[in-house]
Amino acid sequence: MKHLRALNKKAAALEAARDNGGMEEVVAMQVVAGCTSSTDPGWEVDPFGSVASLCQPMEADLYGCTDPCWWPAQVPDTINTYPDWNHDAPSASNDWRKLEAVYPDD
Amino acid sequence: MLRRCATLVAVIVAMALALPAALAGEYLVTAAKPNNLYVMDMKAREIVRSYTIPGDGTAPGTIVTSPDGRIAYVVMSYRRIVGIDLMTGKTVFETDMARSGDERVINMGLAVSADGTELYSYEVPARIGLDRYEVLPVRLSVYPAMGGNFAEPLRVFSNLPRRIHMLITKADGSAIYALGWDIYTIDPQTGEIMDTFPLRNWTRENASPPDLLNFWPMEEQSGLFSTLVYYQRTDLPPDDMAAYPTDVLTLDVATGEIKFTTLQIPPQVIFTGTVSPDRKNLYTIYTKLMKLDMETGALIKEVPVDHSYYQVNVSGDGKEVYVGGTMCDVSIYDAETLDKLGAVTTPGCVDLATAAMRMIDLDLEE
Repeated sequence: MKHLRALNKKAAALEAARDNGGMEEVVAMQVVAGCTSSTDPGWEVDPFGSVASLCQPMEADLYGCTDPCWWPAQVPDTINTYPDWNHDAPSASNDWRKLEAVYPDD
Repeated sequence: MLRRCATLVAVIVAMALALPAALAGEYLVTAAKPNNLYVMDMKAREIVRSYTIPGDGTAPGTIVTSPDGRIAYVVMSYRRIVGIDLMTGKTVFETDMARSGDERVINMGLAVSADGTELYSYEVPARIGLDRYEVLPVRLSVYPAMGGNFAEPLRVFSNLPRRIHMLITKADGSAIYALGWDIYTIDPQTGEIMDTFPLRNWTRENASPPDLLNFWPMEEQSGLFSTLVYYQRTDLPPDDMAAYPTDVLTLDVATGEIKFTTLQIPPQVIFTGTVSPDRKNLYTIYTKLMKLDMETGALIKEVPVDHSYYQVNVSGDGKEVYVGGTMCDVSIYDAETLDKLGAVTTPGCVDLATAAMRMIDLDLEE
């Protein structure tokens, strides 16, 4: 951490919490309240470092992994911020062209 | 003339008997994106009821049914619970689980009481601020099963551990089993944890802590909840494939007895396994369908499937196996030969995704 420097008030507050012994108050979230809090890397490799044990085809698993925020880096947060991202594409294999990139409103 | 009348009466009686027989019986309940709920007659290979799940959400997931099979409670996008009468399509229960406007609540376990009057919901709340999420204690909420459109909990317990992802009701109604890092036996009246079966904290010799994931309940046909358990044997070198066994854990919902059977198969990914009604076989599914011996763990047969599936269930007579989840079909296999017999496909081929498949007995013409 000695090479990192707080650039804004929130980062400074985090440093202060650490310096004042407040780190123990941080509680890990069990499940997602936003996809950004999920850390499952998803999608790239199976438990054996290969691809043979991934879902086949990929479309079979797209929504099964998107909806629980299993693939947070690759797809929008459908639990909170973009709940209707795939509303008009209920068949991943047939409707994938309708799945758009998303952008913040503001 | 008399004989002709008698024949006619016999035909009418036969028709009258035949009609309800086609409608009263066993059905598979599942759901599909974005908000479809289906009742499937698997023997007839058709959907006999189709309902729209009202309100927000595009991802139906966990489904639990009332003991009489009439009400299906569906978790929508983890954020809402909706109860639908399968006879009429009417919504009889609905909640977003939030106790205040700034709470965002995720459901990670749902079960119906043994008498069908209450609904148990394991809830993971967070307070959503402008610049931060605040983690709140997890809770078990008990709702009236026919709680209406804005159901409020009758009892709320906040003494449970985090990381629970499955609730199962004991058959006599005296307990709720909660699957998490360990298996907790909970008093549904007081929330007291009456017993803890060590799982993550097991002390099995020469074994790493186990790993498992399951959010597809399916105990209705055998009375056994089952889940695959993965771990590493520490007495074998890590490059030995035998060091990575897979067990099936079964929980008897009548007695609470928990058993492990080590499966005689190479290490591989399996999503779910369901026990046959006679408890002799285990059917597992992911990229292939397997049939195993519950006594020895021996592999009896395996067949490739058309694409990966999440869940497997079985007919009450033990003759057919149903695989579903992921894409838009529930495929049907012969339980003995594992030959594919057919499939029921959703209208428009909408994806089942993570929606559970539950078997019910119901008289739809009642």
